[in-house]
Amino acid sequence: MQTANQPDEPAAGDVSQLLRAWSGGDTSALEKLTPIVYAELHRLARRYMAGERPGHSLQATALVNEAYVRLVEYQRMQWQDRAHFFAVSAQLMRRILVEHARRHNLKRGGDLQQVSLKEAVVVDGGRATDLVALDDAMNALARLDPRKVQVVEMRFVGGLSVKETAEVLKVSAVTVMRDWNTARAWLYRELTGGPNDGS
Amino acid sequence: MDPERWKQIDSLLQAVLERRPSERDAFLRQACAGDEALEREVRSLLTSQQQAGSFLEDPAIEAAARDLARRQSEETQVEGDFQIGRTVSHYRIAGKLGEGGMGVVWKARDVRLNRFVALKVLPAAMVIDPEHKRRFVQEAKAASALNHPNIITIYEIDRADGVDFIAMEFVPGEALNQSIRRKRVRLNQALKYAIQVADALAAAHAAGIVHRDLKPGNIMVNEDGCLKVLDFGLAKLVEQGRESAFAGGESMAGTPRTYEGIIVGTPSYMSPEQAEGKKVDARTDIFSFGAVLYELVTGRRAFVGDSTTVVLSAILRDEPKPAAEIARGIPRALERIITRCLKKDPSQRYQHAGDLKIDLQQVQEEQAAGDSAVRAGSPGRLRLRRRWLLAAGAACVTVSFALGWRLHAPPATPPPWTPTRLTNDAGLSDAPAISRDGKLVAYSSDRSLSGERDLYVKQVAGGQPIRLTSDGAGNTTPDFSPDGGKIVFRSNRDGGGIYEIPAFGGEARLLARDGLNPRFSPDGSQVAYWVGSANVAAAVPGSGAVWMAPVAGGQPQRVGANFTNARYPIWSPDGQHLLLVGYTSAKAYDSSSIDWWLVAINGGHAVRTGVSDALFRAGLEGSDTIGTRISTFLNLNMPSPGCWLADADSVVFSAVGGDRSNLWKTAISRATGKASGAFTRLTAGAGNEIDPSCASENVLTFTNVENRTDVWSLPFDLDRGKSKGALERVTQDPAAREYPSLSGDARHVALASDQSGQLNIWLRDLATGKESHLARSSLMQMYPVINGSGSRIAFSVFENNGRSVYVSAPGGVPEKLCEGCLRATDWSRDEKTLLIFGGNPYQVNVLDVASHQQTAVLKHPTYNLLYGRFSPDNRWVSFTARFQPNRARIMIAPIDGPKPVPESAWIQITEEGLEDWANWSPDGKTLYFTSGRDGHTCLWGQRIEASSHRPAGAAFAVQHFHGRVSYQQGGWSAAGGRIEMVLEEDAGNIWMMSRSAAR
Repeated sequence: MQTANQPDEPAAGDVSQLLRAWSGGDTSALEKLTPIVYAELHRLARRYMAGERPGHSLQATALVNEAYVRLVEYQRMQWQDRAHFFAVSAQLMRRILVEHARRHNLKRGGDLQQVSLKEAVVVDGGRATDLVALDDAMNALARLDPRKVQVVEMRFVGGLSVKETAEVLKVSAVTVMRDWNTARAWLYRELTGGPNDGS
Repeated sequence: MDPERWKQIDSLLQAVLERRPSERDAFLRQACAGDEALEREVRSLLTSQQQAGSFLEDPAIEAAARDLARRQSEETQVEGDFQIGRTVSHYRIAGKLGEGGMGVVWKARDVRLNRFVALKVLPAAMVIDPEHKRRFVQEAKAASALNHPNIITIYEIDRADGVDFIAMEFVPGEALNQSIRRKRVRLNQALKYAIQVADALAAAHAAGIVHRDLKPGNIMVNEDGCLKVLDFGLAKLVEQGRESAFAGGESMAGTPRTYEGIIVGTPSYMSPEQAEGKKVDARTDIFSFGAVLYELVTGRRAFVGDSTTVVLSAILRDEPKPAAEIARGIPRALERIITRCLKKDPSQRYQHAGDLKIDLQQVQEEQAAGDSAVRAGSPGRLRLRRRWLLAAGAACVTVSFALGWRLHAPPATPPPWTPTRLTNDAGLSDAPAISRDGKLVAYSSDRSLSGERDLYVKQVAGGQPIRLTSDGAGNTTPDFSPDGGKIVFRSNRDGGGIYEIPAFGGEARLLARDGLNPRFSPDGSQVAYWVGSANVAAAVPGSGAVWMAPVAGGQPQRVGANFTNARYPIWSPDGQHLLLVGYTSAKAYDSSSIDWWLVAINGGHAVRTGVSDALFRAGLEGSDTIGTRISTFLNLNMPSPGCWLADADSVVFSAVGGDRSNLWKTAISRATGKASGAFTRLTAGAGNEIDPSCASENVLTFTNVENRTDVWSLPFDLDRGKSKGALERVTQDPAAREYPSLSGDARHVALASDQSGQLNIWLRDLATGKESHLARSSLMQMYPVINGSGSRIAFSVFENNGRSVYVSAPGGVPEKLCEGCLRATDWSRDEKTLLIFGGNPYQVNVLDVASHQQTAVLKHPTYNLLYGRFSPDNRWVSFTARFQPNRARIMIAPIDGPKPVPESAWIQITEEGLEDWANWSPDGKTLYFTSGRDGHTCLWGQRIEASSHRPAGAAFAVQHFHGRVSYQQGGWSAAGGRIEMVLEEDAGNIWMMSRSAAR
């Protein structure tokens, strides 16, 4: 298992270059980006363990977006590039996070995880979400309705606001909100094995 | 499941969600019309939707990190089986406050009420017997119910997630044992404390509640010197638990105890009857009180020993050394009180805590009188002093009400702030600065629609603002010189820099190239600013540096060169230090190295304030320039310091605490540079409050930003492609309006609006501004399209199983034209047919309004084709061809030939761009469309060559939206010499807050 030791971190400039390489189709960038995301994960985890709440100076999306924004002045960017970038980086993030979770699940054994997931999700969405199960459910939903999965990717994985998601997907904010509502309900049901009765 | 079925489920779920909860059931049954499988599916999703709570609302990386933290904790068994970050019931553990015989006390956040609580987790052994637990709960609740200012408030005693816990008021401060250990308590302070404890005991005893374990560790002192007694009745639970654990009848007396994980703390404050295991009553608390008081005034424990046995034996037999022999200046009366409390025989002690309190007050008054007599010798002053004493006692009462929302309220309730609105403009006025005398406010405002800003100065007392700059060159963030005569500001003119201008107008002078957020030093000789990019996160090295330029001219000087990134400097009142956001890591995104730093301007010695961690724990985050939480596009990461209140150690700043941005205040010691870690919220208005500027401790200004959506109108010659006037706002109220559609003469506009509660179609008379309801319905109606003569309107309705298109005349009965079709987008010139689109993939059909017959005009096996628009001669149709979800082009096709029109006949008009529709000019020679080609969504035109129908020349800009007003695809329409659009805008206005100087 990866310990709290921080893997070597490439400099900030590398992050943005890797992201560009990745969104330009260079799949080897994934390998190089993974340790950076892991390092961030462990840093956030340490803050949780110290009783602090992450999200203050390091937003989830910051990793993806900050480097990007720094390199490419977003106001001068073409819409097309931005949309493509955000779509691809959210996918990238999803892959890295899911891979991380998958490794841990293997280590712990799937059954145990399944139980804790169900309990956790039902008790409070803020507690734990099994990203592997969620990933599977998202794949299933993508076969039905790809845009809803894009919305989930942007919002949950990419950390974009409703408005930003709407901009990137070129649909109205109302549409994003509707997609989000349905997708959340559907995924929640998938992960919890159906709603609890009596509500 | 096939996609069609899924679409049906999806739209039905949306339709249900848009209805009131009480109507949903009946609606769903009716809508499904016996299709049980459908009803079951939607119902199950609806239930999931309701149960989902905050599912997926936190970003994935946070969820992953939390999961990782949980696993690592489980693996290493940090803190036993209880960890930080864990949630018990609705309390999220934030940190450990202490540990004692009665369990561990945690600081936790009540996520429902969003406040901190102290959560005491009881050891399992203590709560084995349900009957004992019940009695304890009863007693603890009874004590809390006394609602006494010196007794801690218990919110809840419960069992959840496998632990028994007590959730109680969180008292910021320390336990009395910690204060005693840290420093000697002064006599008058000790008396104040003692009186409060005696008062708490008197109240509890009167209600039949005995504490049984009174000791300094069970008394909390908050920052204002008010005491809270904790754990009433808890000792009883321990004793009973102990008895039940040792039902075999082993002797309890005189043995050090560790039973079943219960570690009994020091016995130093036990009464003799407790030490002997006898029955106890209220007088046992009097003895313990005596022991506490003894320690308070002498700094030593009354009964000490190397082991518990020795201590217990001392309690039973020894008299402690007289207090007056240990500490000097102890009044004889106080000595007598202590001795009487510590009598071995309960019948010789005070019988009532009330009597004890009266005696203590007597001592206190004598002390005060003595002090006064020495200093003034005047009986008048004595009375004054007494009144003050009474007031001091009363202060704690106020505090007890305030404690629940401690984070948000100042402890001693200073005079309230009174907000006053200083500007009332439709545009974005922001970045105010207030002059030191509090009489003038300077701010930047965008009153033109170009998005560029100029500076204005206004008297706080009233009147029209004076415009200071008029080049619109992004003149922002003014700051007054200390004498109020000059203003420095940021301007984008000539490459950008810091400029200086006389406060009542005149020539601006360049002070320093580049630079943002300039601030005059308190003596007016220097201006501090920073150079860098606000769009880049502060946690990126090399993206900001702080400088200081002499006002009289000369070389700017860098401040804090050791920072890898520094920004947003503000001056400390002494003029010798800058408070700034500093970053020290050479790597990006190292969240542990960002903070506010207090940097000496000479020598640059820097002190880390530590506010970053405190902000983090308080859940306060930075906001962007319009007050929304750190955007993914504009990363400011942590709040920046706003202004330093003169004459105080307080810094005001703007931060997002919940869903909006407010002004907050925190203390930064000018002496040590350290942050107190406590935050007080100053504002709680609608919208976002940002940009604080301080005049004095009692006057400050700020910006209030609100987002609004309105219909705007642009007079425009569509044939010539020329503007005929300025863009003007048509509507200005809170109702939502979308998808305007103009009649041919531009006298009427049809809109979807929610002013009746549901989104319905309305018709607005543009001359009078009157709006009439087209067809009132509880179903959602959208996408109106009005015919040229303004006599009929087609629109979409969200019905049970999807969308339908209807048509209605104003005041008439709506007629359904088709089901499952998504939207009508244009009327033919003869008003007999409509262009609609729908299907999978979308195709464009012509619908005959009389017969409801549809004919496919445009279709493609993989592309979605939408937004058909007739050319004025009805021989061509413009449409939007979407190749991929985010990639579309506007095209035209001739429709006077075979239908559907073959793809080979389509003509591309625009580059790939935004999916929205096009509008033809009346002469059919120009197409207008929205495009994001320059990074903003703006309105463009494209000439079409008459014979070939191909684009002629490059597209031309009709109206840019680069400023505060933006187009967010709310719909637009062009006809009759005008363009009508739904635009979004961030409106900002300047406010002032003041309060009377008296404290």
